[in-house]
Parts: sequence; C-alpha cells; structure tokens
Amino acid sequence: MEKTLLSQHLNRLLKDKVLEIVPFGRSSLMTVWIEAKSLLEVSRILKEDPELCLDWLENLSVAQLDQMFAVSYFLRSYRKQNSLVLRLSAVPQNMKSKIKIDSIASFWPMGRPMELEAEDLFGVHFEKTKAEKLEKSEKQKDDRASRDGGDAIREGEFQPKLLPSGWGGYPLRKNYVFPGRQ
Amino acid sequence: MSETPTTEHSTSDHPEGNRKESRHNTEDYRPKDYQAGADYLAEYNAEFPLMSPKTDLTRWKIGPFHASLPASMILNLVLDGEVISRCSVETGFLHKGLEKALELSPWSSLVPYADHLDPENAVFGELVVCTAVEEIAALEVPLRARVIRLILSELTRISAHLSYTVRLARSVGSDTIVHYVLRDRERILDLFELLTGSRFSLNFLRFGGVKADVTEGFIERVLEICELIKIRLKEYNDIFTYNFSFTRRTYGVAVLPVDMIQKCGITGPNARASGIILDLRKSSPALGYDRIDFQVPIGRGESGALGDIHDRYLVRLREIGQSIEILKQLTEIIPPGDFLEKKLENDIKIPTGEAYSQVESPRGLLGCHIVSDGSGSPNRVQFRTPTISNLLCIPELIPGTRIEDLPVVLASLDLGIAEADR
Amino acid sequence: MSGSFYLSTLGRVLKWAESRSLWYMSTGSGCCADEMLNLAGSKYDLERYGCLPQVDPRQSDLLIICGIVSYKAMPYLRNLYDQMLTPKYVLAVGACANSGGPFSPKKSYSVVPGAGEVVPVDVYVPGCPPRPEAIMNGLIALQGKISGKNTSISALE
Repeated sequence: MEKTLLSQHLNRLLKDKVLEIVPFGRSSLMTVWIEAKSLLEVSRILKEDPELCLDWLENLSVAQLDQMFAVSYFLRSYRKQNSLVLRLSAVPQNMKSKIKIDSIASFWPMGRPMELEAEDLFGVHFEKTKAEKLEKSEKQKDDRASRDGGDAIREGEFQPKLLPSGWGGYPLRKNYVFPGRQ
Repeated sequence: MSETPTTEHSTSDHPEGNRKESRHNTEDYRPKDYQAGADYLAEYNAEFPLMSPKTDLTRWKIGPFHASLPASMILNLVLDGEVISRCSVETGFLHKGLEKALELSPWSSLVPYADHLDPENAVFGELVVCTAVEEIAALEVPLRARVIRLILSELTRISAHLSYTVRLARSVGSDTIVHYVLRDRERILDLFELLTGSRFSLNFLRFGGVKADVTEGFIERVLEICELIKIRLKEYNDIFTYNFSFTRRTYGVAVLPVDMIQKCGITGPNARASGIILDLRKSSPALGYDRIDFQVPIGRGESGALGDIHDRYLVRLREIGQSIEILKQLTEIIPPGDFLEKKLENDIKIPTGEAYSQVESPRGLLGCHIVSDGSGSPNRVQFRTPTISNLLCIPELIPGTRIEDLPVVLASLDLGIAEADR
Repeated sequence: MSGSFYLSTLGRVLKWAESRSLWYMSTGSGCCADEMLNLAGSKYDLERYGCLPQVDPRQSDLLIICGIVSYKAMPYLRNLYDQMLTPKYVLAVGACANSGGPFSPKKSYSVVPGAGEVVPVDVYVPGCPPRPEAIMNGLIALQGKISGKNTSISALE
C-alpha cells in the first residue's frame, strides 16, 4: 500500500490510539507510535482488518535511549504487500526494576521466543493475559503425560534461556557492570 | 501346523529382501503343553484384563553434548514406547553476548564481529550489516562492488547447501557421500581463500563496497567451479538422492504443514519445500537480483507427502543448480569501475538514525536492526535470525515421530544454533 | 599409566603407540567446528594419524574443544571431561577456546575466558579459525608431548 493511503487508513481504523505516524529512518516503512496500554486492542485490529491483514510478526526489538525503552514490532503480511513498524515506549521506575508489557503471543505466536529473550536481556516482562493462563492450566490437568510425576514439561515450549539461572542484572541495559569488574 | 517351509516364491519377492527362509521348523521347539498354556492365559486375561502397555512413559533428557543433536541444546522428551509424545527445547549454551560486544566496539569492528554470527554463512552476516549502515549513512555502493557481493553470496549458498547434505547424510548413516561432497566443498573454500585470504570468516565487505578488487584469474575459476558442480550434482543423485535406504527413511517423515509454517514464521527452503512461494531475492528488488533470470525451486511432493524430509533436501539441491545459473549470468554482467567509493577511517562516526535490512540467507530470512546515536559505537544492533522460527516448530513437529527418526529430522531442519543464540 | 613403572624401553614403546592412536571426541560448534568437519574430510584427513572420531567420552582419549565455552555449558563440559578414562588429553582449538578470543571478559559477559579455566589443557592451537594444517600441527605437538620426544612445535622432524 502506498504511504499516504496507508496513513489515512490507519488513522481511520485506530482513531485516537495513534500517537504519531512517522517514516522509519530513510526507508519506505512507516512507524506507528502507540501507548503501551492500548497494545492488545491495536494488535487485534491490525491483524483482523481485511485490507491490512498483518499476520506475520517478523521481528521484535528493544532498544534503550537514555532512560526510555522503545519496543518495536516489525509486522508484515503473507498475502498482501503491507509492512509496518509498531512502536511503544516504556520507562521503568529505576534502572534495576522490571518493565511490564502485555504479550502479543495470542495474536502472533512466533513472537513468543523473542519476548523471552528480551526478558532475559533487558528485563522487559511480557505478561500473558489471565484468560490464556487459565486455559493452559486446564489443558494440563487432562493431559495424560503430566501425570507422570516429577516436574512436568510445559506443553510444547521452546525456551531460549540465554543466561544461566540466577544471573543478576540485565546485561543489555546501559548501566550494566560486567561481573568481576567493579 | 507341521508343514515344512516351502521355497516356492523367490527370495526377491520376499518383503525383507534377500533373507533366506529358515530351514528348521521352529514349531518343533515349542513346549508340548503350549496349547493348554495359551487357553489358560486367555482365561486369565479375561478375568484380569491386561493394563494397556502404554501406561508407563519414559522421560529422557538429551543433554548439551550429544551426537544426534546438531549443536549444544537440551531436548526434554516424553516417550511412549518408541514414539515421542511430547517435547520441549532449551537453547542458550552458545550465547556469546555478541550484541553487547558490538555496543562496546567502534564502528569499524562491526563487520568482523558480524561474520561470527553464523560462521557457515559468514558473508550474509556482513551483507546485512553493511546494507543497514549504508542506509543510515546514505552511502552509495558502486555497481562492480554490488556484483562482487552477489558472487560471494551465491558461492556461500552453494557451500552451505553442500554442508547441509553432509550433515543429513551423517545423520542417516551413509558416509560415502560425505567424502565426495567435502572434496567439492574444498574447491569453493579455495576460491574464497584466493579472493579474501581466509576460508571462513572473510572480513571482506566494507561500508560502501568491498575491501579489494577481484584478482586476475578469479572469474575464470568461478566458471570452472560452476561446470564442476553441475557434473557432480548428477553423481550425487546416482549415489545418494534416490538410494533405497535414504528414501525409505525420509519419505513421508516429519511433514511440515502450511499452517504450522505460517504460525511459526518459517522462511527459506524449509517453507518452500511445503509449497509456499516466498523468496526475498524475487520479491525485494533492493538486493540486486532484478536483472538476473532464475527460478525459485519449490517442493513438488514426489513421495506423496508435500513437505517431508526428502522435499526439503531436493529443494536445496535444486537451489544449488539455480545458483550456478545465477553465477554464470553475474560473471557476464560484471562492469568495470570502482570497488569502494571512499575508504573510511578507523574511527568514523555514523550519523544518527536507524535502519532495518533483510537478506535471503541459505537458512531463511536474516534481518538486522541498527540504531545509531551519532557516537563512535552503535547504540543497538539486533539480529533477527531464521533459526529461531525453525526451533519454534520443533515441539509441534516431533510428537508422533519415532525416536530413531529424531536425528534425521533435526538435521533436515538446518538448525544453526550458533546464530540463534548469538 | 606411567611409563616409569615399566622398563624404560618398553615404556617408551608403549607411549609411542599411545600417541599414534588417539581417539578423539570433538565438542563445540561454530566457526572452529566447521574446520573440524573439513579435517575429517578427504582433503585434510585426520584419520591417517590414527585419530578415529568418537561420540562417547568413555571410549576416547582426546577431547578437542572448538569454539566458545559459555558459563551455562561449563558444568556439562566438566562432566564430560570427568567421564573420560585416564590417560586423557585436551586440545583447545581456536582463539575462543584459548582465552575467549573476540569474546574476552572486556567485551562479553557470558563466555568463560578460555577452556583452561574448566579443564586442564595440554596444547593450545591459535587462530580464528585455525587452518586445518594448523590443527594438525597442534596434534603432532601433542603426540610429541606424549611420547616425550619433540616438545617444541617448530621442531617437526
């Protein structure tokens, strides 16, 4: 879709949730800035709109600029030629605490491993909604494989645990001090 | 009951091949009250029904260092007899902290670090990083440098697919083809050494072009290698591709359906083997393939199931053939000119901005997001690697297959754990 | 087993035989592991030195560490080394296994600075990645170290 047509279409769809629409660097992509609390609604609208049809989350990247963390979602479409960058910013209380954002894994399941990595490295915790958590625990009760005692393997998960357990701190933040160098 | 075994049918009709019939009558060795014992057992089973033998499930953890795994990763399996019923994957053993190391280094060391991202396809790491930086800094790349970059990319693609053949053949157990393929792969690595001085981590691309011009005999040698590999592909087909044992192990095993591909975001030859036509070389003209005439091979489902292991292997073989055609056309259109617009100093500063560039690497879609804040080192370099989607589909693909097919399935997905962990 | 338990000539012969048939197990993945794949190929053949590739630590004499050792994988590597039966030797291949290489403690937070921190290493082979001939050179130096003859790499006669 062309740039002006796309921004008009987005403004019509999302109305007041859009903060700003700007070009992404020097390329032909558009960046849509939204607020963190309207993330789930915006994702549902973007995925289910028949003209945009953005059902492929290609990349999820977190970057830190001074005190602000910018989370970017690079969205694409399988059937049409649309692509978009969805962005939101979050500020933690202090530089050692976590940030909580809603998880979009129910709309785009391919984003779950990228969210887990961002949690390890940046301390940005992507929370599942309550409905998803209930559904998963009910599923595990009926499953025969979970009756075998010991700690159960969570149903079909890919866990990119980049850091060993018990690692203190979030390495990719700017104020991180390497272990052994104080 | 006391018939002697006859040999009326010939041994080649026997379903197990050349096995000869046993000359002894095995029924003579049974105990005399066998029939009475069988009746007693039937009565007993009717009174106390046997529990289904599938009640006990085995838990098995295949640890970081194991021969059936492609690299260091942990697989937690729940086995139901010999069939896998559940699976979970854990990676992170090869985490080098590449992205943090890039933030602490100057801009000029971005390229040598980027070709340690995926060491087998080193050129693609450098290419994606150089493209992103050139977009931020608005650097023009001369046409001759672009064609040299494409020649290196296609040579790396051939070498990567040959290495895939080696890994797949080793997992199946046929070691003959391994030595044939490695002999030919050495010729391509010799070409890299002729041009850049090093076999694997090339460190050849620079912001705005390439480091040096092609040497004198390089183009002729590239054409020689193309002819050689074309002949060798027929040899591999004779020895390996339609071999009876290989096809028996790979027809219909671990079929990747289209909805799983779209749910996990899989790209590259794995997706093309299941019929999805998606290739960045055709759909994105910025890569430079728009003047070259080639076809994108997709899976045909000759075994009856579209998207099984054999299809994934055949797609890569056909891609080697197409890369040879691309290389021949590239050597014809290479123009005279500069190989580098302007040599940049060691402590350059790239202006503020950001960019996201994508490349079609032999494993899938490789992307790089660079954020620059005008200082001597990058603010953020983030790689989107294709293996992370391939790993996501494993817990859904493997349940249902047998444990003896596990190494073959893992080798067929072309997992590069070193790039998934960065 | 030490040669001093036997008569000196017999001990030397046994050590010579041991050094010429080191069955190896190679761990790690990444750049240097690709070079190990090429070493096992037909152009640079490692098996002519008597080195048969193994997958089981209990049946191998030599552990070849190619590539990085991360803090997460460190206890598993130590476990692998402890499972081997004496006499056992370790060859560290590549800059990352020697001292961390480009992922030294100044630049990287998750790489152990050298395999020597985890297991006792006998021979270090530098390079990034080292050429297959350089790895063979390291193997010949290790053979010299075991049989007690040429302990310097430059004397390759």
